[in-house]
Amino acid sequence: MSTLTDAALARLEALVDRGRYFTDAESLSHCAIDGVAPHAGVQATTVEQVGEIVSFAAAEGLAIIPIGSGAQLGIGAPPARYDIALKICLDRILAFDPRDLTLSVEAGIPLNSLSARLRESRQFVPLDAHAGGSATVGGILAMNSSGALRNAYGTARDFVLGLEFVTGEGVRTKSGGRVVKSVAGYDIHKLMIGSLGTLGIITSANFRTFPLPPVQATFIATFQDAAGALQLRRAIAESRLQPRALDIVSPEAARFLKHADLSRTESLAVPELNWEEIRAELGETRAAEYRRQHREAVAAVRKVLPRAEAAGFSETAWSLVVAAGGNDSVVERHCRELETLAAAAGALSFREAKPDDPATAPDSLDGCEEWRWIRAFPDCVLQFDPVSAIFKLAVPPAAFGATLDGAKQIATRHELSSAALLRAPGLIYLALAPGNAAAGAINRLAAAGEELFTATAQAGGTAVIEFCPAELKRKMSVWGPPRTDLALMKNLKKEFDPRGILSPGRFYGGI
Amino acid sequence: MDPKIIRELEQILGKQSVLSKSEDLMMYEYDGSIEVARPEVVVFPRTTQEVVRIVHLANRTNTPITGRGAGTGLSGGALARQGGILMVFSRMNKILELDLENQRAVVQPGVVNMDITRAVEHAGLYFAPDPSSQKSCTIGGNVAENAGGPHTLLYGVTSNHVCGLEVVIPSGEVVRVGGKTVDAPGYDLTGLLVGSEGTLAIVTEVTVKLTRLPEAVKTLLAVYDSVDDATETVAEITARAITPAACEMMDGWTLRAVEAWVHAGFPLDSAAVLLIEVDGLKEAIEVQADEILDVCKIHHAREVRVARDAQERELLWKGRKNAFGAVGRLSPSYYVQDGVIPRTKLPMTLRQIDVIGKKYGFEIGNIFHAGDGNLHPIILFDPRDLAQYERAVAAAGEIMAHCISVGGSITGEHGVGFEKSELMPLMFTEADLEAMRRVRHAFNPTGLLNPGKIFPFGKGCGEVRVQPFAVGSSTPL
Repeated sequence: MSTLTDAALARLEALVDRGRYFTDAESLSHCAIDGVAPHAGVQATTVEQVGEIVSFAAAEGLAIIPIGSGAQLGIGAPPARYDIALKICLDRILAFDPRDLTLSVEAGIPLNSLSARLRESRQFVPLDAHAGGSATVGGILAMNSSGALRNAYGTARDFVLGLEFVTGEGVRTKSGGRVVKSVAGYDIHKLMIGSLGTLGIITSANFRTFPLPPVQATFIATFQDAAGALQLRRAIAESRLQPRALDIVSPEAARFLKHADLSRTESLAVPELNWEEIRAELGETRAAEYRRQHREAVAAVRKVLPRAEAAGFSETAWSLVVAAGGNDSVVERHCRELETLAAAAGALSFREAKPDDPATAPDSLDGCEEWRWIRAFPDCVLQFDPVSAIFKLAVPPAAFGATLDGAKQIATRHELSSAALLRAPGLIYLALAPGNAAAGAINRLAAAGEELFTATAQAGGTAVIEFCPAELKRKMSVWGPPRTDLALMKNLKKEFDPRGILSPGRFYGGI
Repeated sequence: MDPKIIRELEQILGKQSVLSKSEDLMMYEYDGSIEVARPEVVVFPRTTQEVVRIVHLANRTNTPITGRGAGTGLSGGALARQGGILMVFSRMNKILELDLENQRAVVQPGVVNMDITRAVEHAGLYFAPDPSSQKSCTIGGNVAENAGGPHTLLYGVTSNHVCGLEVVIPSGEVVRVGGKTVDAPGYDLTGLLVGSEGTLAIVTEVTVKLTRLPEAVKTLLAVYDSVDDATETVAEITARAITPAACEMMDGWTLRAVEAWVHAGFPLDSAAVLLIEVDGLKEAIEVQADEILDVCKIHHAREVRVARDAQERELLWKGRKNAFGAVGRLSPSYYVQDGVIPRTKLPMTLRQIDVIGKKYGFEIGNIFHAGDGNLHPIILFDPRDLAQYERAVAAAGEIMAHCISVGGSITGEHGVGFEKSELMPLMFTEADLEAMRRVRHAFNPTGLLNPGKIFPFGKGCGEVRVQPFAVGSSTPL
């Protein structure tokens, strides 16, 4: 382990193109993670540079964190050490063969520019992230981010064919292939996806692509209580219907979505927040950090949400939102049968959501405003209450009801308000909000979080915290308690990053 | 093998669960490939705890362990290449839990693939991966090899349908990875272990996803007078982004071999047939089937038949799934390849295989998952004729080299095993292989589990390393 001496900095600077090295406080603050800023930043424009920079860092024992757009840096634990921020400025489409439905891209390409190219061939890759289209492919893969479309397409682990990455020793390596089927060698790419930059730095990825559905529609059914919405979820799961996406929005979540005014810069002042109290509780530096994070989160949301009006989610009812796609008759049938099933489950209302921009509608789910708001759920919550925590609970869908009840009790016990977004494959995004930054907010969140971790494990699931204040991360692991698989993961980490320089401390079990 | 080890195994498992006589061991020296390797002892554990005790014993005595399901694998994965213990899972064959509402089943590794479907089809569910051997192959073997099958075109391979495992690692510890739920924190060990060919851990329990049975199925048989027309059809179906549930091709030579045995109704005078299946909502498949018909016509299909009922559909699939058995009647031995190519390269690749066959004096049959670009060229040869054997191996090597040269893979679903380990450098650099060795080292540092698989021995690359053997004998020539 060493620190960055002037001589070392000079060598680092020499590894990148002119103007691609920075040490000014302003630029470094954009790379900060949970208040920890690096000592230097570099932008790599070639894979060779990524290899050389990592080799340099390994030789010097310097901690390095890869960054795509920076949109998702808040996910994970705070880094144990952080010397160099490595921006991956590789954004070419290396190969796209629409007639073969395969694609190879560099890791730094933003999702929206990739989607635009694929749309020309009426294809897409079902990648998604709460940060939206500005997130890079590499960032999405490193986080294994996903969105509502995973109901039909799974996550990146299901449709990435192969990856190239640089190991913690700076060695360029690949796994998998470029064809739609290959079982040659270990699927190391599966390990890399969701490894948060702790095992290797992804430099390019090969995907299978998918045809855009010719017709797409979104339907919303509302219910007086969770039970009705869950009954409809089950009925759809047991029907012949094949929805592309199925989410359930709790009334509390709808309130966050509806009142988050993400269109005007003035709203960034957020009068609901008592900054005095926050400062009193967290101290000057941390409070300022929250304020900055919050401002950034809001700014990021503005890019994907141009409208001031909130989506048509009821604030008093549970909304079940379904996307269907296919030819005309397939979509019509979904409409018909969903309405019947919704009525049987006691729905208060059933309607089709209007796509606000039919030209881009079929891309993923973006043509429909409701889905954009759902994607921005974490940001909407954080706008109200930056001192809130958003958990991702993975439970069997049959346990949705019991998990919601349990979560509600835990929240109430700790004087937290809760809001839930459910996703059909078995996920609950649960926001716990202290409401204001009154004394003890962090302690209450921590206590509730531990109880949630225990309850989820007992129900046969797992839980992680996706978004929360850095202060909470210092009290508890966002990855939940370790399981029997941790020792093997530590072995793998040691093999791929023997010097422990890749995003140290950010991952599960302190990896 | 030290008789003390055998006695200890008998103490752990009981005498009836340990085989060590040479005539018994002979039964376990083959799998579905052309490889041979005889274990020193065969054991049949019934519980995870028994597996743990065997692993401890193996560790102490430095005895290799190789896992085996039904022995239907096609790359030598379940053969005890370096002797030692062959651990057969046929007695760990219980379905432990059917969780129909959450569409999950928890099963022991010895459960036969098809039996999962049989157990849940009453509820409108099934287990999607369908290797041709699905009536006999086990889920443990499917997990080890990341097995595919015709319907993986739409539904994905085994790794897309396995969400959790219980494994015993070489230290003897029992580790759970993944589970019934999605997105377990940490690295995706489940995704890594599926397809690791038994070289990282011994799987003792598998949690699989169950898929809802499609509402409607339509099976088409398109008949062609030229192989080119058939491959062009497949390329265009892909290019139009139509994804059938399955799209299989059989050339004239293969279908005649199949027809003589199965009587599925394949036209004997055709150059090739495509067996295409669409499934899903009835509104969707009608449109898909029409589009496919259109493509078939453009590419001069002589005839397109639609299976009238389930029985006719079954018969067509029986012809496809029993093809290798049918080919086996024609020759003392055959060598099945498993290369993958981009679908756009299908027409030129089939022509290239024909050229390679002529060069080496073989008629090479082709029956394969055309929609995935996953080729299975079959080379018939007589292993007693060393010159012929060597030509077969050389021809296979050229086919593989071609697959790689167009951006493909040396194996789509059969695994590397010890058949293709020497081909790995065609696809992977030394750095790539080193990364894989490190993965193995993280799990299996002393090489206790399934040694001699996946990784190339020599520095030389591109050579298929198989030992010929006389039919009816286990002695390599």
